[in-house]
Amino acid sequence: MNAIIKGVDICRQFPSGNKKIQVLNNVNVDFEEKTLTVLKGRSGSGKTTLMNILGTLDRPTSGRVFAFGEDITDLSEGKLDEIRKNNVSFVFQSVALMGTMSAYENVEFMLRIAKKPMDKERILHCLDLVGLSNRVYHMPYQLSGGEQQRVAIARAIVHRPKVIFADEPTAQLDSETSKVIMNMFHRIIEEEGVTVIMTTHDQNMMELADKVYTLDDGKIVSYVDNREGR
Amino acid sequence: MLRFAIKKIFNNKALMLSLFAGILVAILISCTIPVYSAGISHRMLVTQLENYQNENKVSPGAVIISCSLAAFKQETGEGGVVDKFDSSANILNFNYCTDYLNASLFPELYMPEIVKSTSLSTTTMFAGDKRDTNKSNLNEVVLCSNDKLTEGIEIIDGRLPSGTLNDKGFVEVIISKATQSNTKFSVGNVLEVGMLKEDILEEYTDTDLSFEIVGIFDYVSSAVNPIITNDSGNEIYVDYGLFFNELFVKKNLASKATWYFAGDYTKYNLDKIKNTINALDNLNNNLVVWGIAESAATVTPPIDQYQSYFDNVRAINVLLALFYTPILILVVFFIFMLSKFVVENDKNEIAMLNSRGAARKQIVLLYLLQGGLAVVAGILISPLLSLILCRFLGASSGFLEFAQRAPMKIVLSSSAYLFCFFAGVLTILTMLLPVYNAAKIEIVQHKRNRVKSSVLGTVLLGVLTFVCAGVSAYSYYVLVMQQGGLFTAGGSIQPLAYVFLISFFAFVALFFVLLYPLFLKLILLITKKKLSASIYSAFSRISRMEIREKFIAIFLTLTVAIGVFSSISARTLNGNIQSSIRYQYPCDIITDVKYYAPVGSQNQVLRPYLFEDVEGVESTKVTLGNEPSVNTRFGKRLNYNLTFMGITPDEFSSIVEWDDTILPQPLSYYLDLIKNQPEGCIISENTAKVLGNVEVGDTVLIRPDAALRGMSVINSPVLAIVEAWPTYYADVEAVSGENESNFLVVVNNSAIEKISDNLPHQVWMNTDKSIAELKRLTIERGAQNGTSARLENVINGKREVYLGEINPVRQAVNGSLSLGFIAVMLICAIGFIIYWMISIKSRTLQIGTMRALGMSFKNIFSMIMCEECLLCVSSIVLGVGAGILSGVLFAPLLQSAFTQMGQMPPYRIMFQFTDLIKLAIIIIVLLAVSVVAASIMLKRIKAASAIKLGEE
Repeated sequence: MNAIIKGVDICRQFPSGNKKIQVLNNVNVDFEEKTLTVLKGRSGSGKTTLMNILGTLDRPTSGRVFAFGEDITDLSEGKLDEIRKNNVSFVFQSVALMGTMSAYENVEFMLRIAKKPMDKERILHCLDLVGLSNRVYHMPYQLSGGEQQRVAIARAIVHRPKVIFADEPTAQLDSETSKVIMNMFHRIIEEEGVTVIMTTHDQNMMELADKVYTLDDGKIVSYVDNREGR
Repeated sequence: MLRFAIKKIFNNKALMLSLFAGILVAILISCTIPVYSAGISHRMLVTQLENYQNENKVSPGAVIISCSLAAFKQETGEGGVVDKFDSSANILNFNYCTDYLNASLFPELYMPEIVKSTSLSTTTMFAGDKRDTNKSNLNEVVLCSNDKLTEGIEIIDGRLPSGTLNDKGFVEVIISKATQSNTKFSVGNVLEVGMLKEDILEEYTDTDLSFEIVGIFDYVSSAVNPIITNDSGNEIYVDYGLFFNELFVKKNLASKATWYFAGDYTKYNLDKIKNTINALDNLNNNLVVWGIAESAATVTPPIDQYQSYFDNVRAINVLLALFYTPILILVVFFIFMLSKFVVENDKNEIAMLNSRGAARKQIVLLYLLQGGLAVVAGILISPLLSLILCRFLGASSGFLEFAQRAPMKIVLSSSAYLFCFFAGVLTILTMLLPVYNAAKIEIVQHKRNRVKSSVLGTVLLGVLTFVCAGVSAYSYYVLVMQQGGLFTAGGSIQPLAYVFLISFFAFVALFFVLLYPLFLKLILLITKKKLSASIYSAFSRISRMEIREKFIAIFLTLTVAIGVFSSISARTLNGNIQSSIRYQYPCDIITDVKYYAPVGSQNQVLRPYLFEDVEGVESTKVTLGNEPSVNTRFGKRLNYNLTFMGITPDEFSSIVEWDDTILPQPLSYYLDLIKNQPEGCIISENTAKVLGNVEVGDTVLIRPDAALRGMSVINSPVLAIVEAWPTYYADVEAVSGENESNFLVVVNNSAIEKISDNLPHQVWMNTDKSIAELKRLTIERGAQNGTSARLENVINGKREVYLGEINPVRQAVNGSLSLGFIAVMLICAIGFIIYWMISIKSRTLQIGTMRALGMSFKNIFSMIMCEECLLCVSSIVLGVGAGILSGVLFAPLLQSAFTQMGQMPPYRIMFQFTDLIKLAIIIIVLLAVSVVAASIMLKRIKAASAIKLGEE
């Protein structure tokens, strides 16, 4: 199958005083459409940095990034903004909802950013998809951590992106809620046809993923395709 | 704990620096009040005393007591009852008095001594040259001495006298030029001096001393001269020591003593004013006890000036307190707001500390250390800074206007340190209040409280707004309707004035934060489908104002409102004072010219106009008439309390300085009416009423000269009816003390001159010549024109205008309002900038998320700018409106500060557009700085790092 996103020989260095820290070292990854891929590794392995580069939030020191059929490595900020607006979405560990907007408005906000029509049905469908149809007009501080994360997921899918990057989305949640979130991602992949790329420490989550890349010290040390066993 | 506190300060540099600035401003303003008030009071006292000196020609720091030694009662003297006729009594009285003055009076004046002297003199005696065989050539002389003789004179011939008898056994003496001219004595003359003429004629002298003239002197020209005497041309001066020993002690010839003290009143110690008044009262009492109260000639510092000083100080203090109260409240609010920002920033940390077992007082102590360092530094620095600030304010010549002036005497008093201390305590308590509240919240409760607080907060806000509205409306009603103004009968400010100001500003600010979000929500509801992400986000955020936004909105509204209020109050005070001075003194000089017929002449007194074509003098004649009257053909005759003015319109126009906003039309309009219709007249409203409701176009009969009968009237059409005219007051205070109406008629001189050109007149002029020069000119020109003329009742308008400008009360108001305005703008700038920095910094995660979601830098920048407009710009606009409204409501109450008879021109609220421009410039600069700062901060936010920071 075609890779919707691909990273070739990606290197990333960060300056630290007079030295440079090599966070990623010739990483090669590709992600197929409509799959759930997990990037796993301990803290400091470079998985978040890799995700940021693939998600256009950062640029590699060297190497190339291909997304949606084009080389996006050297695109301008404006073009990268467009990609993030239309094709890519994020779910963060810290949730990061807009505190002065209700659940509905947070999801609607994404449509505004993407300059898409304010489709009320679509918004309510997304909220229903994540199981929050009875909490539509609640403010973020009126929701639990898990509920807030679900709103974030609804926000991430409302504008029909092609790829969702989820950086440790269940890190602050209990195991039951984490399972719910993971199943939600599967449902979204099936119903919305998105590709989900996720980082996590959670071993249980990895069993549910289609593919798992393991990073250590900025390198891919293993790759497992769980679909072969199913 | 201290190290932790210092570390927190450095971690939060911008916020702590702003907090420190706020604390410093609060303490500095508090400290400045007593220092500035004392400095202005001192300047006011010096000005009053200088005026006293100019008018009375005597130094206000002088004490002169001159009396006959024989007039003392018997009780005087340390030795108890003394026989009045005992020769030792005079010496005892003199010594006793000298000791008393030196020990008890002069030190209690608390003025640095410039000169102190004692004079002794004899009664009138007779002197003749020993060699003059014609004993009828005797002169009346007085033998004098002064212990500071050499400081008051300069020898022009000969030398100073010796302190002992010379080789020939003579007493050496000197005489003044006037005495030399009067007596024809000269250097080298040896005089016999006796009590009676016969003593010398009979060759018997009461003294066995001869006096040799060794020098001629003239007086030193100085405002302070120890030789206090009106030179009668008969004084003969002996060395003081010699006089005392030989003439006073041995021969008891001294009959009069004069004690003179001159102090530098410009360096008077204000703190000792009560001591001085007591000392002067004691002196007066002692003079009575000694029996010389009626016979002694005394000059003492003007006690009434010092006593009125206290009233003036009180007036200044209450005005300063009134104008500073809103500013101090604002500064305290500023400190509270910044402290709240700090606590908001640290709330998680505080809640965590609490959850980990930290006691409440430990947390409070931590913040006490942080803020306490700032307060201590503020208390140490502020007194010195206030000295500099007060010197700067002392140069204020108007609101936000400064001129080169002589420096004000500024002293740090104990009050200044006390004010510093109390301001420091207040700022500490204000700063710790939010900390104390936050310190009791645990981390779980902290998150739960957010739900409750929003509902409770809105209800509380509504109640507060309602209460403030009610209080301000009620207090204003009572001030205006029932109490009739700002001041109590005792001269202090009505407490309700403070209540009104504070509650009004609070109401405006609270009303804004209560209703404005609802207004924005309404707009959002109507327009949300069309709004872009940036604008929508901005509206959403501001329409759901959180605590921080509410604080900054209240703060900006209050700051700007108080700034505008200060400017309106200052302009209204200054403008009305300036207007009323100019109304009363519209040109440099206004003077009557009195004419007298030459001595022995039976002719009519001639009154030619003497100031035609005088170089350096621009003048005009204002004819006063001779018992003028005005009436209608069938109506009442008006010939009492009539201000009659015959003017030459063109000249009048060029001489007079007039505020064209007083009358409905510019002055030139009315002058043109009279110029174009020379027979016409302008009358006052009360004149029109008394004459039977005369209207414009009606004809009145004007008789400028009651002495002329027959056709000596002007049939004058009324060209205009006015309520004001240069120097005209519709109400005057009669002898009875009651107000009486004063009527006005203005006509063209050309119409008067057809009837008579020899009527009494005034001269109004603009000139740089002195009054003495003008008086001389009048006499000369009068003589040239065959008449005798003198200037009388000369009004020096230029001087009055100058005195009005340097009036210390006015300076105090201008200085304090200028300081208030500057302080307000300073903390507004600090608060504004710091709010935006905190706002952006605290939303780093949110902004990073927005970037991650696809919002461009431009979108986010637009969002921030939109928030700034919705929150800050609207707060500022409301503040301007509230400031103008408060000024319009409050400024009329200041009218009670005016005590002039029938305030003219009518009291008006004044506002200078330039003040609004200054304010606009400050705001534009602030906005520009915030735009640049926001841009820089936003550019530095990288989405990836921002999100990572948020997760941490």
